[in-house]
Amino acid sequence: MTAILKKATADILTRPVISLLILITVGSSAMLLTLALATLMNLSAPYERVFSDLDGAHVWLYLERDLVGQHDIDRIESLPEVVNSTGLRYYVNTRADLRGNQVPVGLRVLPEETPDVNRILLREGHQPTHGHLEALASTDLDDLYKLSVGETLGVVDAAGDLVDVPVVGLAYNPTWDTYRSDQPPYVYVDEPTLSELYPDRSTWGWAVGLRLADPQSIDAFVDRVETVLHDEVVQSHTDWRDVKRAAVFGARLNAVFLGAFGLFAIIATILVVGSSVGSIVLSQFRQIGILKALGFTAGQILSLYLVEYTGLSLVGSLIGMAGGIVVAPLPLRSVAVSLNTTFRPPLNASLILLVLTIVPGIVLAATVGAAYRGARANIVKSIAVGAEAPREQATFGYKVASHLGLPAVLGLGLNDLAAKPFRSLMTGFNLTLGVIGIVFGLTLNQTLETYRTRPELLGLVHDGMVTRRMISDGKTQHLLNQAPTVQAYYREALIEVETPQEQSFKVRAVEGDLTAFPFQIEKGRFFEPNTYEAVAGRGLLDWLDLDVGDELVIEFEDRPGRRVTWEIVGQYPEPTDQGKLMMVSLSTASRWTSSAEPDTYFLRLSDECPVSQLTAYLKQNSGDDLNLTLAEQAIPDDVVYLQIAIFALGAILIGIALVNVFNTSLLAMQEKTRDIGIFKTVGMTPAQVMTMVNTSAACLGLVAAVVGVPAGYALTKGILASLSETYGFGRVHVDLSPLRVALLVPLAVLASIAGSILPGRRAARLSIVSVLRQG
Amino acid sequence: MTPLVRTESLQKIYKTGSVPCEALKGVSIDIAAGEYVTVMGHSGSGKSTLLHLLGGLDQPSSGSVFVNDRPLHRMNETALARFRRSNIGFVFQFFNLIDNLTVQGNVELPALLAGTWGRSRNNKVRGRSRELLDRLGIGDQATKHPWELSGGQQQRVAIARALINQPALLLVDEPTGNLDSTSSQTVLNILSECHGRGQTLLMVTHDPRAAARGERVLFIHDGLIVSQMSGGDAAAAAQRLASLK
Repeated sequence: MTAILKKATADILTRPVISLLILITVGSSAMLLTLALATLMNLSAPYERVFSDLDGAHVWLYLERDLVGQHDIDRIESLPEVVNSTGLRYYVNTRADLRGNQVPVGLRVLPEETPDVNRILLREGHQPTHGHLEALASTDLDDLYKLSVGETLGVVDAAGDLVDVPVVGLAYNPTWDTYRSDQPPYVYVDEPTLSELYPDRSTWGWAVGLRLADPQSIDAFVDRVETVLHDEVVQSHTDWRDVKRAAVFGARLNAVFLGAFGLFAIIATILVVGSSVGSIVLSQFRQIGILKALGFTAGQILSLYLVEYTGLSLVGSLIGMAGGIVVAPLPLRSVAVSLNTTFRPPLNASLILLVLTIVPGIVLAATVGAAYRGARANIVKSIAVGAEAPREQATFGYKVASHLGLPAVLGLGLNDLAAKPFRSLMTGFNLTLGVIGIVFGLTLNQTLETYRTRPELLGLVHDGMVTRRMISDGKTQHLLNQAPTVQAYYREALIEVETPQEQSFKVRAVEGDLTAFPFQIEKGRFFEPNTYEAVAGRGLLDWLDLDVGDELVIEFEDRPGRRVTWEIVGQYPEPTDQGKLMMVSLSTASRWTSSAEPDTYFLRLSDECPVSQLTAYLKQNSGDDLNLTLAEQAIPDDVVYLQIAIFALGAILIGIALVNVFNTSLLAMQEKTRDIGIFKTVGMTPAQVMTMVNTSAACLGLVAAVVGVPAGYALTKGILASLSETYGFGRVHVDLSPLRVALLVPLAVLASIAGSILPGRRAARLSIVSVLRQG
Repeated sequence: MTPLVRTESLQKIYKTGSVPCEALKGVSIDIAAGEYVTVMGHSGSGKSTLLHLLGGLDQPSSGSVFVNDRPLHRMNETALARFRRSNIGFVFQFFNLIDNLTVQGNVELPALLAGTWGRSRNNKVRGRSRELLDRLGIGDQATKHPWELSGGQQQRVAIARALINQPALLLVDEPTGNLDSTSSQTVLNILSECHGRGQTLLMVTHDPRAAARGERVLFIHDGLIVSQMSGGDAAAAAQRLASLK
């Protein structure tokens, strides 16, 4: 054992290049694995994590102000089901002016001290300074209206005046339900500010958030509260499970992409380490042969390499893992933001254990495999030719180049690839993985840009939307007919319906200048007005197991028992509620239900007049009754963070692939030292040596691009198609610019060459005499 | 007439570790065009170092080397590589063939490195390599790889490679060191034949029989040329070599 330890130590110290190669390979792989595992960790149960970290309320009760007093709050909080409470929280639902748009908001009092229950997660800026007229807006306002820190909300006060309140921060609330419109997005202010805006406290709403001993018994608890207090006490409530469902669904897109990426990175790690270490050991076949000639047994050979590589892999893994932990926050904070959750630092026992087990484990497996092969090989042959005897196929590249009349150095570079086919394959595969990652990011980015510029693909066919409150439909239509900038409009009533099998969903009953709107019909056609034809979202069709051409029987909510049959003539991209909606003619629906009273008007606007004219016109003619909202086409922030995270991970993947190219080139140069000496002897210049080395790398880059680009595109398309099915969305228009594809090819080649430049320079500077003296 | 090869006070010092090693201590020799010169010496005498410097494979620590009136001691690595291609051929003890090229590929290599691209040019080179291989009696081995040949055959391939560009100078380092006696004879006969065609040769050897093939034998000891004699007498060469110890 002493001999083995001495030899192992001597090997490590006297062959610094090999040792460094192993450390770089293992270290970079450990870093990538750390990032991949940290990504998967952050993807795991994001909503549950943030809910737990913020001690989210399992239920929020919105109470009838006239029916409760403080003692009632105390009674609720003292119920045995209640573990903890936010205490009484005040709120006022109102409107705010944001860049000329009237948006509904819920002013909520932010407690001075950090609460025990339902804390909020500050994403940007800071909390309002107590006593100052400032607001902390929920991130939902950013998602919906692109509200930024530093902007001003014109909050409507009790007198109906607009009061400018600067937004000093954005925060995430784990219990605001994205899909239900019972409460508007929150704006947090301190109590003095709310008093200033709404001096009459009797107009303030009362709410209390509670953590329950049994988080699943929300309905039973609400019933209990009403039993204990009063039947009508609870005006409405928010169930944390509904919020979770919406949050999980909303984050699914990001989770799928990032999860795929994480798995990708893990596979790349295994391949890089396995192929590199295996190749390195195989390159020492001659040494193994000599050791055996000296008297080392097969077992001792194995032990020698295991000792050597275990030591190096542990050191490399530690260094790489430390690097990964340091670098992780950069992409992973973006991941956390995109998932609306807290960032989970990778410094934890499970991750450390996994990295220190997986990477050294792969190294050991590769080492044992290669060393076992060496230990069993014929001594004379090992010393003479090493692990891989020269192969006839290895001259293929040279022959092709010669036949085509290409310079000899290019042929020699091609020969190198054929000479070590397994190693070339593994290196090429790793490069391909990197290219796939970049294509993934580029395709996603471009697809999102396409949807941004063509929102009708998302089902957003309008430029603006007007909602009415008290003013009549007829008056609204009259105003819109006269309104400046309105080129066309259609009106909509959203009606609850149910199938005979008690499946509930909503129907968009529409009427107006429908032909002026670019509805995208993916299958079939649009319905004819005044008929019993309908178009349905993909989600609805999948859910009800229907297709275009089928019939659907429904009952309107207010007319149970009266069944109406609709013929589904087309499928369209429905952006809300997982695509589980249907669109029908308003006039037809009106014959069957009294709920077909349109309250939403979708507009096509002219570019010739500014929108502010329309806003002013509506305000002048309807006061605050008609509310205009422009269809903001910007990509939501969480998708931007997703893009950042994916590109960062893609860049890391490419970086790892380049390290592999470097390793492969350096290893190849180590093995080809004798050949390079001979080439230089017969007249190969240093520049020609570099060309030869770079040719091998360039070929690998070219193959990686040729294989990786279509593979990455197909992978992205497959993932997006599968996601669109989950979202009930319909066909996804995946885009990748031919120009970008064309550019990727030379970029991949150049990047691969970059990985081989240093080994090439080293080879070019090789001393001929040193090589010849070694024999 | 200007000698083809001329050195003046050629010195080479190797710095290995803390103790410098003076491999050549000031060697001045001339080799005329068409001359066959052999250099004899014991291991470590500096004969291989001399060959390396004459071939531009290494740079002298001081002194000068002229081949075909070109100052090799002043050339950079790229210029030396280009010069070697066209003017100097090498034959080594251990053949130094490229395993993953065929015999023909090995022979053509210096010519392909030397010229520009083009299929017609490649065809010309191919023709010349075929000619050489046939002349050396291994034309039928053209498509084989070095590891498939015997030592003697490999050395003949190395000679063909060295001659492909019709170099002015052929440098040969212990050509028979790795061969049996029959193969050694064959190789030495080939080299003599090359000389017969006007090739200038410098062979480094410690084999008196090989050394005797030369027209002139130089004896090197401790980095200096200590004596010389006419070629042809292997026994005398052996005796002179033994006296160097």
